[in-house]
Amino acid sequence: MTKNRIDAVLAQCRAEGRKALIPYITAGDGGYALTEEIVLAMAGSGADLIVLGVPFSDPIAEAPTVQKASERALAAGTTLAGIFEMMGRIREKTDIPVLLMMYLNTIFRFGKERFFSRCRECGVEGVIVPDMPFEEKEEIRAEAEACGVHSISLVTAASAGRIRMIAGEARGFLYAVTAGLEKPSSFLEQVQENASLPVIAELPASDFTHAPEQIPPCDGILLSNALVELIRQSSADSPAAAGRFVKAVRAAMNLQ
Amino acid sequence: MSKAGRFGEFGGQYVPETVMNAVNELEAAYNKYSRDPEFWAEYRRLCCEYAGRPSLLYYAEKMTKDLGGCKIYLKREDLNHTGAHKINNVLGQILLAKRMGKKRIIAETGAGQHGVATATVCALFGLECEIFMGVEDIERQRLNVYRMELLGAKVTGVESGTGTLKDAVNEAMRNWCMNIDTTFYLIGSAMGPHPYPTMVRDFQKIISEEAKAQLMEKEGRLPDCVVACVGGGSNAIGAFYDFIPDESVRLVGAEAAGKGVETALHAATVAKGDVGIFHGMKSYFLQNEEGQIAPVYSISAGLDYPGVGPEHANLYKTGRASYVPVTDEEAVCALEYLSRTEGIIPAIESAHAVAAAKQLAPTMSLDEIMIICLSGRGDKDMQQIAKYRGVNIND
Repeated sequence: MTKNRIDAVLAQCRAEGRKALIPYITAGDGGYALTEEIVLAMAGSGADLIVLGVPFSDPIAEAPTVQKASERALAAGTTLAGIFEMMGRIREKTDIPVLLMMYLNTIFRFGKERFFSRCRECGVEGVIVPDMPFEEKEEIRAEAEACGVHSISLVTAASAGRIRMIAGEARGFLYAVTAGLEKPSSFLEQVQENASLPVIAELPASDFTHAPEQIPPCDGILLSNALVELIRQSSADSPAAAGRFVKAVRAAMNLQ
Repeated sequence: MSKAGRFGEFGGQYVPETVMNAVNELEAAYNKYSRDPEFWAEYRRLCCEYAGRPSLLYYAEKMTKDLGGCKIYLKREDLNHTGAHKINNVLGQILLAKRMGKKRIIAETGAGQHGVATATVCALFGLECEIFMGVEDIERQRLNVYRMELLGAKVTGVESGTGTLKDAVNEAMRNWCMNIDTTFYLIGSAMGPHPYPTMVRDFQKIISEEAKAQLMEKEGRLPDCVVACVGGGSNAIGAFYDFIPDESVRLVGAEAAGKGVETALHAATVAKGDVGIFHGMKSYFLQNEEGQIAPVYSISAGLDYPGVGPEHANLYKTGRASYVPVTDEEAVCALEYLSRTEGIIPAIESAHAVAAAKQLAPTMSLDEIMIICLSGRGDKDMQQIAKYRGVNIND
């Protein structure tokens, strides 16, 4: 099995003593061509990994910004098959590791083995499935591992007593959800104490672009809502805008 | 059951990590109190003294003669306090919430019957109550919205998606995720992540336990057939459960076929759905080839749901129960039929069961017996039925 490049990139970040920057956008929001351009712009502006949201009719774990993006992408005709084709085109231009954030029914309905084979063919190296907790991880584990795809585990502030158990069987990195936490530092410290894998925190950029010293303890940052909203507002100019945004966040993180 | 929370391949706990501790805490509390005789004694006392149980098992003599087939009994859940079977489950879950020290109750509602039952029992126990309801359903069920508010509940409209029951569930789950420490999510149907399908069934199985004993007293034997309507499936699982081991008893669920299963406008999950994973469970769902959950339609807001509880999925897959689609038109005709034949106005949901029974009864012999679960009363539906028949009762 080839080594998963998510591990390689995060190991390199750690070796260089810097935090990974991982932007999230909803695939197909504005059309495939725009998503493709935004991915390339972000890859060229300091992103280390990219997470593409696969739109779903009922995204129960998402905030309104991402729910709306999901609706727009579905209205534009986005499909999983289309996202895989787009990934094929992206792979001709960049080798930045890409993960899909998606709901379990989309994988189940596509066919688990077929889904992970397509991931391998199109260079998707991880999936984040918010409605699949530790207790149900066997649903896709064998199929994902057979194709060398990481199924990423989530931990939240409500995971008290579960973090070590989850971290013990996690792959790639631990995705720490900090939504709703005023001061995520103590939660993130607790996650780091219980995990040997890198800890990636979902954080709003506004919290630290002006005060980089306030970046809480973690190995990387996942940006979602602010970026998704920026893309909506800047429509056709969004590749350039997303690139500038990622570059600005990267610069702020480098000041830390 | 193959393992905790599974009915064959169906069921499970497919929910975000945020709620796993809460789901586990609920499971532990339910395991503890469901073995506590005092818990069940309090549940039964409230069912009797507050909700008015046992509900009647009524011999529908005129309907029996008119249809010319089997003998028909109605299990009168419509006579319960708040007008439907929903209160059985609400009383059970609130007693559990109280023992768990939860102060705030949230619930989803479609037709509003579960919302009204929840608001009612929250008023009784002095608990804060917020009900999530699709904006489309708020429009269809204004009377129930007013009832909930009168009872002191906050009704929050849900605009996302189709503005119906599934969207109300989505929003209630999101709200639960954000308020996990203080809040108890009181699911109204035998669906969602384990332990809900099992727990809700345990609070509704009183329907079949009573019906079995009542029929034994009246007829000295088991029924040949039990018919109930199925949305998520709580009144149906309650009406079926005690008869599942009695293999001679045929179990029939009536699901909402809206404008017809050959159209796009229906909610006939078993007839037209596929296995999927949604709202915490593996079960049958109406969905497209991409796994996007389908918008569903029924005249009945209580059956307007794209999935079905996992225990029903397994009863269907194993052939223990069968499920038949009933259209809006058939349901409205059945509502009118029962009103004129027996002087009982059923809820439009329950009218789906009456319609299925009307089809079945003439095919059965005179010495056979059928029980129809009349899950709720029809007062809430009068405005909509009038509108369906082109009668204006507003001005």
